[in-house]
This record gives sequence, structure tokens and C-alpha cells, in this order.
Amino acid sequence: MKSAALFAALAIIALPCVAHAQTQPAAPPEDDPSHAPPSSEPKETSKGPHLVGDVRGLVVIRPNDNYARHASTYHYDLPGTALGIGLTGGVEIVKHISLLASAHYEMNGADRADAHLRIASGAIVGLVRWAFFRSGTDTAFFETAASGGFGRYLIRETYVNTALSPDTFAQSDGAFGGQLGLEAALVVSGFRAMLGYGFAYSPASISDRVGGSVNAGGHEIALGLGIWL
Amino acid sequence: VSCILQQRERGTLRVAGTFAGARALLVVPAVKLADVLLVFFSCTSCIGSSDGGTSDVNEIDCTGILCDWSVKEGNPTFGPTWHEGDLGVDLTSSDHVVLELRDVLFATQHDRQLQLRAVLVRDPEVQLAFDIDFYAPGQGQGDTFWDRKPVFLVTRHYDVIEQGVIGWHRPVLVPSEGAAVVLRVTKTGAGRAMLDEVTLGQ
Repeated sequence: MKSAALFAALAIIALPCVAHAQTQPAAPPEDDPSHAPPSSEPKETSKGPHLVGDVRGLVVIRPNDNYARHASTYHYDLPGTALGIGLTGGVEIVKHISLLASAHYEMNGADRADAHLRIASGAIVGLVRWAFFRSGTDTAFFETAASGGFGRYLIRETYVNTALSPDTFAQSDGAFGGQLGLEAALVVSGFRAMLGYGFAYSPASISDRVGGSVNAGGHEIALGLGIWL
Repeated sequence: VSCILQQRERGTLRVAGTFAGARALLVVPAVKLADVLLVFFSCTSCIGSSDGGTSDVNEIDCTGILCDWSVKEGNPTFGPTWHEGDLGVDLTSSDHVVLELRDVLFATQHDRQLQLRAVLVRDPEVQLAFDIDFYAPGQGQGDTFWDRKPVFLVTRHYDVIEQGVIGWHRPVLVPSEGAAVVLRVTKTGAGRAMLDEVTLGQ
């Protein structure tokens, strides 16, 4: 399982690089004048596929059916939001359309004296992003984009009360799910800053013993920095 | 990394940061994006903390031991409550359950009103009630308070009318000579009921 996750992570990192490398034209012979680019042609960055990637901080509000209320009743003050980190990478294959792979992980929890409750969730998702508005020059522009995707969502709960028992109670679930999002980005000299919102739905959930549950996914606000090459 | 907003003047934002014991002073443009970043990363906490609900005050299950509670009727299950790891008593399996706790509470306190608190799970078809019998010190011979034939004073009765998963509490009037209590929990009816974190105090 760990090696599969490692492979998936490496694939996410390697995918944009491989795709970008495959789209680079072969270097022309230096002594062949027929391959010299005409001086009037726009810069390469405006026409070729572009490597896109970012690392982003996340604030996630998971769908929650009374789980947090039950936890609070038993004096576990579970925050309404989870903080996380995400990695997104891919290629703008044609103008304004990007194919991306994304992985993210977020966590929140509550401590009650010696008892520690933690909820972590994450996902590996394939995305299509459409930049429906773009304004600026080839090297500095602002864009707004919509994205949608599908992937595997995971959620895991752990509980330990060191005063009573060394045992860690854990439960987890995984399921496929989808997400939709909107984002605004500013690209300057190959660097890209973004702010986005998304909603993800997945049936992956964990339950308490008195009818409460919390799902992976949910509302997500992202703030990220990355590249656009 | 901990960052402390120190000063903002003339379009610059001075942020002191510490990382692994080293301290650095960074000066960055005071653009709105920086404010957004600070709010984003510093004002949102992802771990809540509470001192409430400690396991040391009238906890029902002390790692598989009944603490000072005794079962008078029924067959309650001592173990998980809302969570597999959070222990209490599950009264669901029997239609009639009576639990009792004897406690000498008032040797050093003189409050005339206390709060009875508990975290409960109750289905609508279940009747759940608390009774508190107050006793004054007796004149008999014996090693413990209860051996010295304490004098019964009064019983306070409290029905739980709330249902669902609830944090329940009621004020309890203490008789003037009340020095000890027998706290009794009675569950009647088929349905789900759980009990945890029972306290009688301020």
C-alpha cells in the first residue's frame, strides 16, 4: 500500500516533466539556416504546451452529519475546518486547457486532557482545467479558470487516550469521488500565484457509534504558489 | 515557524520569524496578499483543545474497572460510548437498569447548590432518571462514613427529558446537613441509552 502511494506520488511529479519533455521540438542543427526561427514569431512560451504546477495551502470544511456535534458534546472541541497541503502538476496541452494531477492531505483534531482525536483526509485526483478568461502578455497575465476531476478520496480517524490505554483506535475509508472548482491566478515570469475554491464529493466516510459521520472532500479554499513554464 | 506581526509602517510589513531556534527579520512589501497569507495561516487552528470531560471525576469506567459504581439491576455494558476509545456505560442491552454511586462529597465544602452534569445518549422510548439521596453523618461506630449509620435526609429526583446525544445538567439543592450522597441512575424501556462523564460539583 505504501509503495503504491509512493508510486502514485512519483507519477504525479513525473507526469508533467515527461509530457513537457515529449512536446519539446528536437534541437535543430546549428549550421542549418532552414531551421532558424523567423524573428517575427512570438516567443515559444505563447504557443507551446506549458508546464504547470503549484504547491498550495488548503482550508477544508468536510461534510459532517453530527459527528462534530457529538465530539463537542463529549468535550472534544473539533474545529470546523481542517488545514492541509496540496500538490498540483500537469501540462497545458492546448491553449487554455490543462490536464493536471493533484494530491492533497488535510488534518484536524481535538485534544481532551490525555485523549487525542485526529481526522485526516486526502485524495489523488486527475483534473481538467479550462482557463476561460486570460488577460495580459505572454509572460505576465491574469487568468480565471474552472476545473473538474475525478479521483480516489481517503479519510482516516485515530483516537488514543494515553491515560487509559496505549491502544490506538483507528478507522478509515476510501472511495472514488469528484470535484469542481474555480480559481484565479496571476502569472509573472514563469511564477504563478493562485487563489481557488472547490467542492469535492466522495462517499468515503467515518462514523461514530451514535449515528454521526464525516466525509472526505467538502468545501476547499486553496492558496498556492507555483510555476507556469 | 512562528511568525509575529511586529510593525507595519510606510508600506512595509516587518515580520519576525523563528525557525529551529534561529531568528530572522524579514521585510516584505505590505501588499494585501501578505495580509491574506497571514490571516490564512495564523488565524485558523486545526487542533481543538479542551480540559473539560476529564476522566478523574466520577468517571464510570476506569480501564475496565467500575470505579466506585455498582450495578443494582440489569446488565449494562461498560465500554465504548460515542467512540470505541471513549469509555462509559452502555445501558442499551437491558430494559431496566439501575446503577449506583456512593460518594462522601461534602467534608470540606459548604455550597448549597451544585450542578449535576452528564453526557447522555437517550432514545425517545427510553426513560432515564437520576436520583440523589442525601445523608448526614451518623452517630454509630465504624471505620467509614457508611459504617457509622448515616442519617437519610432527602432524595432529589431528576428526569432526563432531552433526547439524542446531549450534554445534560441540572442544579441540585443541597440540604443543610448533607454530607454524602448516593447517586442512582435508572433506565427504563427498550432503546438506546449511554452514560458518561457524570459529575456533581460546582
